[in-house]
Amino acid sequence: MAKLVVKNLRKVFGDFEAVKDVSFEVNERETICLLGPSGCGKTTTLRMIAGLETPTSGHIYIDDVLVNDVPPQKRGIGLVFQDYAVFPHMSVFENLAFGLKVRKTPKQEITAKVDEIARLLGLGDLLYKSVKGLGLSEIQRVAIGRSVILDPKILLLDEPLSNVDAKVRERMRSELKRIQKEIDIATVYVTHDQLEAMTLGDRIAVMKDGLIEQMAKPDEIYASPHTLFVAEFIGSPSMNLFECELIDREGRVVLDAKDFTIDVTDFAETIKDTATSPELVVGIRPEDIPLNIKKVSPKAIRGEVQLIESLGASSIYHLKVGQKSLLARGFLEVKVGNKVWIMFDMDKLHLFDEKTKVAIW
Amino acid sequence: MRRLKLLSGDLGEAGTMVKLKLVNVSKRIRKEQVLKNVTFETGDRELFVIAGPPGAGKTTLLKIIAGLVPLDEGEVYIGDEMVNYKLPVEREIGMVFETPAVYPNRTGFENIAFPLRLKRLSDGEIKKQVHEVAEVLQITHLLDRKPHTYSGGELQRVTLARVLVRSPRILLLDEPLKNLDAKIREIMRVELKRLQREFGITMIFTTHDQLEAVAIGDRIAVMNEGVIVQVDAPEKVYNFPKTLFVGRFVGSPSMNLVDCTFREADSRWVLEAEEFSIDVTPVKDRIVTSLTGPELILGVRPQDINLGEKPTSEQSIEATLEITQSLGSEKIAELRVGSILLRALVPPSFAMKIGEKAYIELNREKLFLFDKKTENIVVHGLL
Repeated sequence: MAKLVVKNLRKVFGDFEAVKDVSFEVNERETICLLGPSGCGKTTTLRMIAGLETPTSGHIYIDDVLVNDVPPQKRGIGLVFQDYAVFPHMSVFENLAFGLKVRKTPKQEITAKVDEIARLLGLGDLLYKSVKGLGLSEIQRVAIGRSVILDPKILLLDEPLSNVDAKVRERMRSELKRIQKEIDIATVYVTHDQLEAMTLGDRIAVMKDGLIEQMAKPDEIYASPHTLFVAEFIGSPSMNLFECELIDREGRVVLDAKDFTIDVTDFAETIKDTATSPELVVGIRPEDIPLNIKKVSPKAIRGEVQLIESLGASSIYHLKVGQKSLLARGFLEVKVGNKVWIMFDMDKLHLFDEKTKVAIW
Repeated sequence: MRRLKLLSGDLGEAGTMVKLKLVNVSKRIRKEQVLKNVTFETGDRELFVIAGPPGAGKTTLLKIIAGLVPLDEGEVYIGDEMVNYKLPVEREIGMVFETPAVYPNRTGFENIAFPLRLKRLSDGEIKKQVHEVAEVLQITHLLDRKPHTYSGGELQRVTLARVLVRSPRILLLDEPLKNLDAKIREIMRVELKRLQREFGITMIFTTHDQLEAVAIGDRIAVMNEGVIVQVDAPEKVYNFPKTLFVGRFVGSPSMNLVDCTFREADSRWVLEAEEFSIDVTPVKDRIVTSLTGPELILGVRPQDINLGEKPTSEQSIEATLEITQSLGSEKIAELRVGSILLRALVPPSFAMKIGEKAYIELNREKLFLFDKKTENIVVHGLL
C-alpha cells in the first residue's frame, strides 16, 4: 500500500477554489513532483498534506491512516521550506539536534543520530560551524537533515531552489538528486520549474487550475503529453503549437494550418475516430524539426530565420513560416534573414483536439 | 526595422550613433573594491549583456552608467561625450530595475504617462505617445487596468513602456527577468530582444543566468569580482573562454574540470589525471608555449563526452554510471572515474543502468586546458 494517499482533495478560500479535485498516491521511496504555474494549487495541496491547511473536503492517508484530523507535528512528515528556515545563530549540530532535543531524546542517542545524518549528507566536517558562514547548498543540506533526522514517513519540499541563482541551482539540483538516493524517503516536491521536476521526480503531476492534468514518469510526460497545457508547459523551449483543420483534399487527408499543410492520409482513420471535430492543434517540439539550407524533399516547407538564440552547443532558431512563428532547435550555419527548409516527421508530431484540449495522436 | 517616431525624433537627426563607452571605471564601497578598471565599448544599437554571479558588481556598474552612483575613477562616455558630471536626467538613460517600480493605485495609462506629464506635454500628445508605445509592447489592453491585476510578464512590460516613453538614448535593464517564472522568463527574453531590434536602441542588460546572456546578447561581458573577464559574441564566449571562470560560468550543464599534470612519459607527452591520462604529444608545442607550470586543469563540456558499453580505443576511460537525470530532449549522466565525477549529456534513448560500467570517449577537438595557477586558457582543442 502506498505511503501517502490523497483522495479527492478540495480547498476553497472564500470564493476561490484553489484545489478542485486532486487525487494521487506516493509509493515507498518515490519522489513525486507537483508541477505547475503560480496559482495552480500545488502549494496549497502540499500544505494540506502537511496539515497547515484544512481541506474543504477529501481525505489524506499516511501509512493507511486517515490523518485529516491529526495535527501537523503528529503526522510524521518532514517539511523543508523555500527559505530553509534554519536557526542562524546555532551550529550545524544544534540545528540538526533541535527536533530531537524538543522530543527529549537521550543525549547519547542524539549524538549518534546527528553523526549518522551528517555523514549521509556530507556535513561531517561542518558540525560545529555556525550556520551563518555556510554556503547555500550546505544550508540546504542542513535544512533537509533537520527534517530527515526525525525519521519522517514523508518528506515535503516547497520550491527549495526557487531563490537560488541559475548556476547554483543547477549544482544543487544534482546534489538533491544524490541526497534523495541516500535518504530514500517518500517525497513530495513542489516546483514551477519543469526542468527541476523532470530531473528530480520519479513521477510528475502537472497541475493547472486546481486539477492534475497528467501524472506520469518524466520521459513519458515529455514524449506523450495528454493535454495541450502539459505539452506547452513541459520542455524548454516550448513545443510549437498551431491551430489547423483536418480536411479531405483531392483524395488525400491533410492538416491545413493555413501557412502549410501536412499530409496525414495514412493516419486519417485513427485521427477521425478520436477527434470530436476537424478543428485540431498540431504540436511539434523544437528539437524535432530538422533544418536544412537546401530543399531536400518536395514536402519541405520554407521558412525565414528571424532571430537566433545561441545556447552554446546548439541554437534556437525563430523562424517565420508564412504568417506563423516557429521555433527550431539544432545547429546550422545561418544568419538572420536567411531562408531555411524544414520538415515535419509524423512520428514526432502531436495532435490535440482544439475543443477538448486533449491529445488524440 | 520599425522605429518609433517619437524615439527617432528625440535622437536628433536619423543615424546618430549611440554608443556607450567606459574607460577604467573603478569604485570602492566601504572597504570593498566593487569595480576594478572596467573598460568596454558597446556597439551602436547593440544588445550588450553583462553577465556574472551575484556580487560581481553588475548593479553598481549600471548605477554608475545611469549616474545614480558616483564613480571613484574613470570616465563614462555616451557617444563622444563624457558624461561623468552630468545628472541622471541629463544623460537620457532609461533604467529598469529588478523589481518593477509602478504606482499601484494608478492605471497602466497613468503609469506610462507620468514621465510625459512631468515634461508638461499636451493631453493629446501624451495620449498619442502612450498608445504608440503600448502598441509596440502589446499592452493596450492593460492601459485601463491597475497593476495588481497584471501578471509578472505584463507588469514587466508596463514598467518597460514607462521607461521607453521617455525616449532614452540608452536603456539599462538590471536583471529584469529574475523574479519571473521559468516559463515566462523564456518568452520575455525573446520579447526583449525583439523590442530592442524594433526600437533600434542600445540596450545594456545584466543577468546572473548565462543561458539568458548567450541567448539574447549580441555581445556578452562576463564579469567576476568587479572585473570584466571577457567581452565577446556568445559563440566566442562559449567556444573560446579566456579564463577558467568563463569556461565554468558559460554553458549548462557546467563544464567538467579535472586537475591534471603535464609531463613526459616514455618519450610521449601526457596529461595525467588521477585515474586516466591523455596523450597530447601532437599538441605539445602549443601547450608548452603558454604555460607557467605543469599543473593544469582539463575542461570538458558534458556535450563532448561520448559513452559506450565497450571501449572503442586505447584512450577510452572506464567509468561507472551513478545517476541519470532526464531533461526531456536529452539526459545528464553522472559518471565516476575513481574520485572524479564527470557529467555527460546523452540522448534521451540512453538506456544504460545505474551501476553499470561505461566507457568514456572525449571529443578531443573540443577540450580545454587551463593553467592552474593563472587560471588562463592554455589551449583549446587537443587534436
